[in-house]
Amino acid sequence: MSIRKISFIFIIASVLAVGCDDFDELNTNPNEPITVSSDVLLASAIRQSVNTMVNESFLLGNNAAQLTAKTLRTEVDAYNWNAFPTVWEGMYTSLSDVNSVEQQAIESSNEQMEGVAVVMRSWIFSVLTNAYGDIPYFDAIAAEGGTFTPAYDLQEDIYADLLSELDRAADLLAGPGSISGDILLNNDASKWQKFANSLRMRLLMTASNSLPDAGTRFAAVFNEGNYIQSNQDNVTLTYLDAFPNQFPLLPLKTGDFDAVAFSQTALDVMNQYNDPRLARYARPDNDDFSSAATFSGAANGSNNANCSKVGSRLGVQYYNISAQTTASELGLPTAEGIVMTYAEVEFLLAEAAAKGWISEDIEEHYRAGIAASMVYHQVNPEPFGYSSVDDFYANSGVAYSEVTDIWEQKWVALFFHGLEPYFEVRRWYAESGMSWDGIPFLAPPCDNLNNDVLPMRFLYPGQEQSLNAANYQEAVTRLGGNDFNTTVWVVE
Amino acid sequence: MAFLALTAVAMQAQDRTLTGTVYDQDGLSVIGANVYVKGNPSKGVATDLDGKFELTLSENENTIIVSYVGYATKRVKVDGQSNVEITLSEDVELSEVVVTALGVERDEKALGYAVQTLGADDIAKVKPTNVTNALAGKAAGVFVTGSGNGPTASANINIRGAASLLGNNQPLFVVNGMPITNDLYSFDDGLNGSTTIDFGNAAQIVNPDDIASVNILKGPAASALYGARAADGVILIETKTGKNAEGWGVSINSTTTAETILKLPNYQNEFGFGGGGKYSYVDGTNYIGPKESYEAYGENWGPRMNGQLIKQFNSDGEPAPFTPAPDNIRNFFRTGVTSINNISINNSTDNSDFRLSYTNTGNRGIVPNTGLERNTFQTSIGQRLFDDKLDIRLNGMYVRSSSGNVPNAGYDESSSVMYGWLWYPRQVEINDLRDYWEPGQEGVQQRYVEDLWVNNPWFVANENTNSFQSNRLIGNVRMKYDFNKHFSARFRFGADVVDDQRQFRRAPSTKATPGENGSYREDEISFQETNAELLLSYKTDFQDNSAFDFEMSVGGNLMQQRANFLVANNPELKFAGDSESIYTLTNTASGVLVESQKTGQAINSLFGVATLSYRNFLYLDATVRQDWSSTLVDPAAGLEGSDYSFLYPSVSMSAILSDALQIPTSSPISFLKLKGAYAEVGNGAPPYSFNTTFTPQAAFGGQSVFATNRTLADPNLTNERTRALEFGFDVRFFGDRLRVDATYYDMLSFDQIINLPVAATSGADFITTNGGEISNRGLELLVTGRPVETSDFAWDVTLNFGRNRAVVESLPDVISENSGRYSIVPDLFPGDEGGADLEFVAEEGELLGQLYGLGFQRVPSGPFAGQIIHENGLPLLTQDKVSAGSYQPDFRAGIMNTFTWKNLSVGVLFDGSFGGKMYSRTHALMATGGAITNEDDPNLDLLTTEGRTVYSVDYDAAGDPVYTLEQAGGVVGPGVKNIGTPENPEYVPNDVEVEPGGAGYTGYFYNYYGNGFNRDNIEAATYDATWVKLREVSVTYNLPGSLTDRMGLGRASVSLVGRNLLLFTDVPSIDPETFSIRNGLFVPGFESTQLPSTRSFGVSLSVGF
Repeated sequence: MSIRKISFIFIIASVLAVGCDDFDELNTNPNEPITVSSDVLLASAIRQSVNTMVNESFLLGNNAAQLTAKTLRTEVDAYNWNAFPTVWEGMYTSLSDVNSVEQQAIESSNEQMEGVAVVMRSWIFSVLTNAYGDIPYFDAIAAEGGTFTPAYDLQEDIYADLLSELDRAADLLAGPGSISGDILLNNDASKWQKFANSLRMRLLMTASNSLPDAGTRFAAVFNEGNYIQSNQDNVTLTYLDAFPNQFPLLPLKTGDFDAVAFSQTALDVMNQYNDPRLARYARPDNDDFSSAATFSGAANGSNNANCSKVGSRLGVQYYNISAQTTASELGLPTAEGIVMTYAEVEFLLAEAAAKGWISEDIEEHYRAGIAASMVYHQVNPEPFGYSSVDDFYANSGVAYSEVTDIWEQKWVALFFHGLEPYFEVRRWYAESGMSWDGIPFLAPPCDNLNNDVLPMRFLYPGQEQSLNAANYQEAVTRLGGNDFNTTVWVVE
Repeated sequence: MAFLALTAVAMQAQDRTLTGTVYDQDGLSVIGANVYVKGNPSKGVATDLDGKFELTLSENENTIIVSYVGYATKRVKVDGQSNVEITLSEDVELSEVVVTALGVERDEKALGYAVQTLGADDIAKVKPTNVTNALAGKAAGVFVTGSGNGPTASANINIRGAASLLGNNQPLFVVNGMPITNDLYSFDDGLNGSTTIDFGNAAQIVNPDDIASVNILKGPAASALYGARAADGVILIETKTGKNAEGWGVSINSTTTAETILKLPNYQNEFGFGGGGKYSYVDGTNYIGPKESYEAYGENWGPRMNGQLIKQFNSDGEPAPFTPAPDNIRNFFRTGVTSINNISINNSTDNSDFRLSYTNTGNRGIVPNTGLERNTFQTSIGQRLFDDKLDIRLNGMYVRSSSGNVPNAGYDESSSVMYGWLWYPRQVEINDLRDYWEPGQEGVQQRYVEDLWVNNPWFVANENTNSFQSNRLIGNVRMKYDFNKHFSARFRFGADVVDDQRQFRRAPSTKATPGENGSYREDEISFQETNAELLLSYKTDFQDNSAFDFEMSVGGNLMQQRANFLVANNPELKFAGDSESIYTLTNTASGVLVESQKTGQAINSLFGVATLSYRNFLYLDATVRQDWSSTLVDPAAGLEGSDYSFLYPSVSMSAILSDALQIPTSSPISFLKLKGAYAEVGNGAPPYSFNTTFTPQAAFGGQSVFATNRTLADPNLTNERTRALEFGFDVRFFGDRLRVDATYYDMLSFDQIINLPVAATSGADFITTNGGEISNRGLELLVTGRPVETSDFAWDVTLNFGRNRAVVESLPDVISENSGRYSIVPDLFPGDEGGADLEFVAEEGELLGQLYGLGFQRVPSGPFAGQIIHENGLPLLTQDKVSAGSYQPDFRAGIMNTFTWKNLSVGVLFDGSFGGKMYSRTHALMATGGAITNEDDPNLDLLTTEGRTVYSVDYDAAGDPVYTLEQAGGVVGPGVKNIGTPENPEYVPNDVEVEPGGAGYTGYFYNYYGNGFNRDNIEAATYDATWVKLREVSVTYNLPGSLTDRMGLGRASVSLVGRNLLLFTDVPSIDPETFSIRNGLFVPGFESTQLPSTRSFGVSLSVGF
């Protein structure tokens, strides 16, 4: 071997050795940082989870509760339920960001931010457990630590923890620190406290049949007095004008595959009172917002000839339809992403009073709930024959007479409140002895495929069957099958 | 060992002297031809300036072998002769020299692994616009699948199956020794969901007229010197030079071909637009409507088209005859034209040469307003200096391609005309829609049959364009210096630079765009790869007549890649109108979304290759390559903490038994070679696989938003590896008139890099990790023969056969313990929310690429075993997903016949794929929409025209439709129904009549293809994908020399050429030679609303002077 050759090899080898020096730099991701501040993650978690709830209220919540009706693909209405993986995935996905926010807040002793993270997580998990029953909770969102197959926890245990977490969050939110990136409540710790406490009241009401001390705990929260007390405290995401931060349904078009119309059931109830919210929830068939407005309602249920699928389109704040009246022409904002409203809280209080949990005047809260909903929807009572919201209450026949009135008016007010309308219908159905008969304004959907029985839960998504099989099987065995007719703890 | 013993024949007894002269075909003496004694290669001489030689033979030596590069090696029995005259003939049949890894030219017989060479004529005679397609059917075991998706359509090329679960398993393309990119650069996301606009595989731009040869390194043993990039084989392309020219030369090639549709679905022409047998037009916006107009129903389940009077979209509110327009869809398409014109000049002197070539490719697509323009400049300059010791060559290729519109093929409402045909009325003449703007609303509002769903196809073609301009520069320089007859050094530097800009317009009033106000998007793709390589070689002196020859090279390579992708999307235009200027990023109603992605990676390598040969009949090759890969460096752990270096060895052996055993020339066997090889290669990781990151999202007003990346990294991520064994033989008979070359291989790819899905409840969706094994086993067979040869006629046949079985041997534990299957593509057709998605799956123990979806519930046993179970007349689907089989064909085969008679030659290539499965979403959709007859569907013996309920229509005084039942319908699905209980079923033939189709996604066809709108049944529309194509035909007439001389030409030929002239298949509605593209991945076995494939035919002229 010649000297020349050896030296060449030496040169190559040294070039290569030098060449590798920057490999760690070269393989450092220039597109995505490995650390970010928590405000950007909080904004992500809020947008992702609230968008999920808007979409799911449109596809599931409103339809399962018969506030609206699907006109083309009627599986939800007809109780021909498949798994609804988008609820599961959409909500669980948001939790990674929430946990990162919490971790950073703890590291920087920012108790307010930590409190926000705890409230967000509790709300997200509350939706998930209400929908599915037992779910991965205590071991969830721990992939970074190597837990890829989290176990399913009992709904009872989850509820206990959610309630104590929300209690803890309310304390944290009174502590030191500040909130940033909060596109939901404008970095206002006091509003988050109110949300935390109101959410506790919601959960206690939801679990009222299964939680023996629900009443006393509810009263305790109520007596603290720090809950949502006006529409200014509403937990809603105000969307922007620009894509992709518009109200998620705006780009949809009529005739879309998930075509949704106003329901006959809701139309009947609201027509009975000439409810001015009608012109907000539904778009007049004749695009006329005067007293000449005409509305129609589609039947919830199967897509066959017996069930009319002709109903008014959803209101101007939810959809744009070319060449028809827009929300801005009526001076209305586009719809918000609703997490929780003052109206709901008033109805919670009315029902708590009716249950004897709190010593309050039932009608006062009932009436405040209706008024709050009317104000929130910026109704125009005049075309409906009323001079004001008070006039409506006094003269429409809506005035309080029995507990089911609370259910009825709460049901109307829960329009586009995520999955909450379905969760409440389920509770009332359970309180009525697993029967429609106790709910005067509702009946089984037209030609449904579940023998007129209201489904009690969502099916676990198929992804869990394949990716978390052992834990999934254990949970299903405990339930007695991944069946949507199996009751969950809150309605047992 | 036996060979050695046999060749150790004693040399003894009487020597004698043999003299001779070697001539070529033209009678000119051949200088420097190698003449040696058979069985004793060391005893040889070279012919002198007069072609003469002299050899001393011993008594038992009575055969000599004469060889010369470019000529067939000849054996001559000399017996008692003392003077012989030998004429060599040009070796046109089997090229002896092939280009192997690192550009090293080798005698084919010396190779222990499979390399197949295609010459210039094989590639350029019948030219496709995508050069990859020119390989189809011509190389054993090389599976090329094209598609009809426009002039830029990609071709999927797989050699020896699929080594990897991640990525496209495409071979590495190497041009003039330097790798070039063959990526798809396809971004599905962000453009209305399910778009597939095929801008093509990047290597397609190599110009066929400039190609001198294509050498296909099929297996790891051949490609091992490319290390971490070699797992899927290598395509080595050498471009033409001026080297062998004599003085000045000019060559002109011109080809013009016309393209017409090869296959369209069988449309029905009995029933028109509408639903439930009803139709009437009101204002185009009622899906069903209170008057049951079904005017925007978008399907052909309407009334009978018998001339009855019905209000229609273009009848001004008056009833007009409702009659079929049978060729409406066919008439939309036009005859495509492709014109390829090439001129090249070359020159060579004693120590220099150059070639300069210019090619213009112009295409007018079959879809109106689509086409392609491509200009290619190619140059090669060679210079030899210092007594030929220094050899310098410069190769450059510049390609500028552009198109005003690349057609979209796919299930995309906004810009695919193919989507539109699914719901296109059978009664509407296509020319009635040619004026696609509403009068007075040009640029603002399109005009169509209905106003909810589908866009006017002319509007789509003319306004919703997908344009691009791309510049590609591929250049390299090579310097080789021979220090002496033993040592040489070679340095090469190559660069591949891509700059591609794409613009997507969606005009105002395009349905399925935000606000229907139009949108505009720009993509910018830039890519750059450079390679610097140094190689030092040593070889023994071949002239010294020793039994052993030895060659060795060592070298190194530095590879760097950089890529930038920028996507800027203006989802809603602010101002609409007829002006071009509305399509800008700044004319925005709601802001512009920008995504950008930068990647960089590098591989540094050291390699060595050694070849030992014994008496020119036994060859042993060994190679080794060490790669250092940047993508395997964990930045957090640093270089020391990372495992980023890999060694890839290979060894191969070739034994020419016919020489070793001295098979007598009287034997029918003229050549016999055995070969065998073992190799290891790799497949790198994607960049930035380490560490959890946060993904930037669109800001919420002034608030920045980042989301936790849902893909976690395994800190121990390592390279994919493939181990391969191959062996085979090459046997030739009757003086090489018949040749059979067979190779069997067995490869195992392990440590698969996989984006392992994990439960979303864990807080991640994927972990990038290693795990799983894929084996590829297969057989490649090449048979060539010349069955007939007379003085002026020859018939040559080449048969290429390839069979590959890619089997998923194992998957990571977490999958094995759960479902045992991994979705390579978890949702083939996103956008159809709900229901079950169709999946492309790797399943343990099964062939790779299973087509998964729901299936039919079938009777498990008894007299009705296997029949479909019906309930209420509708077929029942399974709860769980099932596989309809794998896309993998049993084998691919191509057979080329060439007939040469005097100056006329005829080439006919058939190419076929046998077995495997293909899901046709086009067929499923067309059948559910009632547009086709369904008579060609082998799976379902029901016509969509049978059993329809149909109404006739009249109008009342108010002008509202009044329907009268014309015929009550119903079809009975083939299969059984259960008259027992679910627990104790009792099956009888199904006799329940249901509507075949109709309102609200009900009816037999909707349910048959899967749950109404979802079409999630994989079984219904999956077919045996076998197809055979008459791939290429050429008839070439070479003008005789007497004529060309008179014309002042060196040579001239005229050819009639054709591609894809005939298609034979049982797959209904579509040409099954196709694939889907999802997120930049080829997905074989799935077809969705693809453009019809085309046949092309035309004329080609070639002259040289």
